[in-house]
Parts: sequence; structure tokens; C-alpha cells
Amino acid sequence: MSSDALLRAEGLSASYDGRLVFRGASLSLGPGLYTLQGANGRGKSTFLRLLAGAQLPDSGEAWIAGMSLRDAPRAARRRLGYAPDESHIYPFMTGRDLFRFVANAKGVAPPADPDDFSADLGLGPFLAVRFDAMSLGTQKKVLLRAAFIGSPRVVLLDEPSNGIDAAARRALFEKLCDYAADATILCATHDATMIEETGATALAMSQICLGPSAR
Amino acid sequence: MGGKFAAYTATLPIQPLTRLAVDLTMLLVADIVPLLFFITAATFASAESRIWLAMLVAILLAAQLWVLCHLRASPISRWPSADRVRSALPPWLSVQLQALSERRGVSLLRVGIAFAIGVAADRLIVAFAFDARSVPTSIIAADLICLVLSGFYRGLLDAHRGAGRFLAALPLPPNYWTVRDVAFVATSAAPPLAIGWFRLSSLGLLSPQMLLLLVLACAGLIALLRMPLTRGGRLGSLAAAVIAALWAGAAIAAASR
Repeated sequence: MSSDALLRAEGLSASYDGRLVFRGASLSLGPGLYTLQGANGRGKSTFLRLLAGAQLPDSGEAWIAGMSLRDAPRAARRRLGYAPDESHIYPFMTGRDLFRFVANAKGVAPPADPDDFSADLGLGPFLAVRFDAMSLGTQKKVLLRAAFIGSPRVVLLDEPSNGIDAAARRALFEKLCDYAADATILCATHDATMIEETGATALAMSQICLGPSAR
Repeated sequence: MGGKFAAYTATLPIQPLTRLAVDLTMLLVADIVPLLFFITAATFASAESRIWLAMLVAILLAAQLWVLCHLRASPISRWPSADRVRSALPPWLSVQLQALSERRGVSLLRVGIAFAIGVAADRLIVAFAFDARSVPTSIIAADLICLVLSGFYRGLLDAHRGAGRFLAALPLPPNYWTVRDVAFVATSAAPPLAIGWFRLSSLGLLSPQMLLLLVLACAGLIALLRMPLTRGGRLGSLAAAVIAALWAGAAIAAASR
């Protein structure tokens, strides 16, 4: 384990309805950009949810910038940004509403309207649109922008490049490379181009955890 | 025939009259408790008051039907000022108001019925010439107002449940929505409750201490009703009605001491 680890997990396990997804997942990551890879159903999204505190693990513990998600959940989550793959957001919320809500939860000022990153993602014209009226790509962009509110030390992104247009992809890759200089970014992705263009360190699910087959 | 299913039913050859009949039936079933109160009030009221009560019920039902038929969620704010208004509100209050405005018809009807109960109770108290029946009438009205407005909990919970996983990753305090939703429902109940209490207080029939006790008891009832309505499943409404009935009995017994 590196001493400057911003994201750490030890022995995380998850199961659904008695079916083990993975067990014994452990990692320790310092600043940088990392991608999490693995076949469908290996538990990448579940692993990110556990690291984000969006789902309770069956066992194990995770730390965000030194703060335990179990013992100091609010302090840990203040240092965390998370963009899920599926848009579990209030359908009536606009992008602007979501940014205000997330900023309020983190105790920071909401981003300028629109700020540089929102503009680069092409979000400007869509910030007043309801979430359920946005295209999937626009929903993804809103979640990506929201993940960086409050300058989190750890950012977890689930399939961040899925469904977004070429200009937004470029803007995202630039943002990830810049931001990873002093933060930990972990992305679950199958996007080989993203790994190539960002120079991210690839991690395989099979390396960091024991799968159901290892029971 | 609203909600997410509405988009699908719009593609089916359903006659507008059939749609209207289904909507009206659902409204009558959903509003059975307040309608019973109106019927009870009409039994004791004078012939003139009965006409007014009947008109009030008809207006409330017609208003909700109109809302159901004409107001649908818009992808973009209809009024440019709506976004500015939302930005001036605390984000959690904005979420609560928007969650309930997704069910505008039902929400407006709840508020309308709550005020109508307040007004009807006030008229009854006047009809009773402020005799010993006044305080129990006021308590029963308060009980019904709390019961009707506690229906907001379901709309709020449905909205929060859908966003649960995202919210879980935010640094929100424990019971974030529980506290705010109870405060929201209690605040929304205050104006209709005040109608009857104001007259009783101004006439000296309700002492300041009694008024304070009623306020606290109503706040307690509203908080208590959240449990069955959000966790009671199909029996939630029945459990809430039982709790409200027990509360009313206890409150009347305490007030008559």
C-alpha cells in the first residue's frame, strides 16, 4: 500500500440475492488516472458503487483521501465525486438544479453558469432541460460535470465516455489528464481509445479481487 | 391514466370520455376519507350550507380533473422565471416542490381539500354557536387535514427512491429527507389548521397552552403518519387512518378533561 494513497479498499465483497459478484477486492491508489477493466458481469460498476458509498459492501472497507466510508461517511463523501453509468436522478431536475443540489450537499458554491467544463462538454443549451427529457449522452455529460463539483480528491466514473459525442470526449479526456495530476480518478470502461489517448493505468478486475469462481 | 404509463396509453384508441370516467373514478376512490367528512358536515349543516359544501366539492373535483387533463410535465420550464424562482430556494425545497408538482392534480386537490376541511369545520363551529362541540370538531378537522396532507409523503418518497443511489454517494446527513419531508408536510398543514384555531383562540375557547399542545400534537401526528405511508405497503393507508383515528380520540379525551 502506498503511503499517499487517496483511494484505498480492503477486502470488499458484494453479492446480489445470494449470488457472489466478487470478494476480497483490495486496492490502494495514489494520484493519477486509472481504468478498471473486465468482462461484463465481473462487477466493475458494483465495485465503483461500493467505493462511492452508494451501496453497502457485504464485507470490507474503503477509504477516500484517508477517510473511512464506514466511520466518517460524510467526510469521505465530501472528498469524492461519482458519476454512475445509469442516471438515477430526479427526472424533473434540470442540470442546473442538479449542480446546485450537489454543491449544497458538499457545502461549496455551485459552478458558474455555464463554466468552462460545462461549455466544453456542450452542456450550455441543455442546463434548463429536465433530466428525463435529455438524451442519454446529455445525461451522462451532466453527471460527469457534477462529479467534479467541490474539487474532490477522488473521482469515480462509470463508463464515462459512453454515448457522448466526439467533441465532449476530447474535452473529457483533457479534463481527466489535467485533474489526475493531484487527484485519483478511477474509471470503469471498455473504451480502448480512452485508455490510449489518456495514458491511463489499466487495472483488471481479476487483479484486484477474487471472483466467484475462487470461492 | 397518468404517470409513466400515460405516454403509452396515448397511443391506444381510448375515448376521451372513457379516460375522463377513469380519472374521476380514481379521484373519488382516492378522496373517500375527505368526502366522508364533507358528507358528515353536510348532515349537520343548514340547507344553504349544504349547497355551498356541494359546490365546494364539485369545484375541487372539477379543478383536479382540469389539472389532470391540461397540465402535463414540460421538458423545459414553461416560464423563464420558474428557473429563477427555483434558484432562489434551498435545493432540497426545490426538489420537494418539483416532486409534488409532478403530481399537480393530486397535490392541488390535497391542498384544496385541506383548506375546505378547515373552512367546513369553521362553519360547523359557527353553526354550533361555539358550544361544547366546537373543540372536538376542531380536533377532528385537524386530524383529517393532517391525514390528507400526509399523502404528500408518498410522492416525496417515490421521487427520493428513484435518486437513492446517486444521493447515497453525496455527503448528506443521516435522515436528510426524513427531517425535511416531515417539516415540509407540517409547514403545508399550518395554514389550513390555522383557519379553525384562529377563531377558537380569538374567542378564548382555545387557551394559548391548549393551542401549543395542539400544534405539538399535530406535528407529532404528521411525523407519525410518515411511517405507515412510506413503509406500510398496501396497508399503509389503512394503518395511517387507524393512527389518525386513535390520535383524534386521545386528543378529544385530553381536551375534554
